[in-house]
Amino acid sequence: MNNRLKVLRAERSWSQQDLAERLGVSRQSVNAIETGKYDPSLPLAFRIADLFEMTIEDVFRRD
Amino acid sequence: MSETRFHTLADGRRIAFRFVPGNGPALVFLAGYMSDMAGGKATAVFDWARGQSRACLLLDYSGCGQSDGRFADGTLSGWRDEVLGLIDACCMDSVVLVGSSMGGWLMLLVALAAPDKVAALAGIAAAPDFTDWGYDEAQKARLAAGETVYEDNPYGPEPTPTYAAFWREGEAQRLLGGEIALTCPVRLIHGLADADVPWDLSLRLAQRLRSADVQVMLVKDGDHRLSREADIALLLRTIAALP
Repeated sequence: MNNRLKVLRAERSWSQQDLAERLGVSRQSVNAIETGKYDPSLPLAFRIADLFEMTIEDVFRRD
Repeated sequence: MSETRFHTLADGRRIAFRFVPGNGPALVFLAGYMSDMAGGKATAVFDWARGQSRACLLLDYSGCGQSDGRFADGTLSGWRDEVLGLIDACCMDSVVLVGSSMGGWLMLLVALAAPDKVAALAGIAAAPDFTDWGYDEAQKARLAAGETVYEDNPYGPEPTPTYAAFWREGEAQRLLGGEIALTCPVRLIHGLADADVPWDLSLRLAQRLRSADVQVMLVKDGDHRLSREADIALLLRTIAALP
């Protein structure tokens, strides 16, 4: 699965830590999602999409 | 110059790293369990080194961050060898290892494997032997039987896994049972409010090191991460003051 998390984060000048705090997860979790090491749970994916005011499909895409 | 680059291991896996050349001894930051080189402490050390024209290396262990591999395949000795390989690849003949949490265990293993290259060590909530004291007997029995143990992760929605292969190999790498034959200067920083690694572990480590030049710094309100501005300032002051 691909995602645009790093780009969306950069557009807002947020560090991984900034995004992690907004999502209530660890910075390492953000890094692991960005690098494709870890696919977030559906509730977390919704939290991410909501934070960026986008749909899940706009943030995450199939390979 | 400081963009992420990749070092290819003999088996073809690529290890992500950032390196800035400069004066020695080079700083090498070793992150904790399931962590990566994009963290606050790693980035602060790298940026400080660059400002001081000091050489510095950051890396993602295999299975972590931008490096290839599965985290489930990671072991301490495998990651130790990746660090040693990158130290060689970057042509560093003298390094100061800065290890956070599990990285503090790894820095000891790297130093024992290449003592002539290591000028000093700096540990942040160093966690040697956590395969021993970090799990209760029931968890150890499951790991010994080849099961994966998942623990609650206070920092995220997903539990943190420990894989049997990692645990078994870690048990074979334990150091606190005897003298640790390292003689370089060592600085250990630990928070008294660390909920993950007991602060007395840094005192035990200080006792076990053969080196006479060992200092422990305790931060009363410091948590495990020690990533607040004041914590990072203490870390940088400590590194800067190393002989």
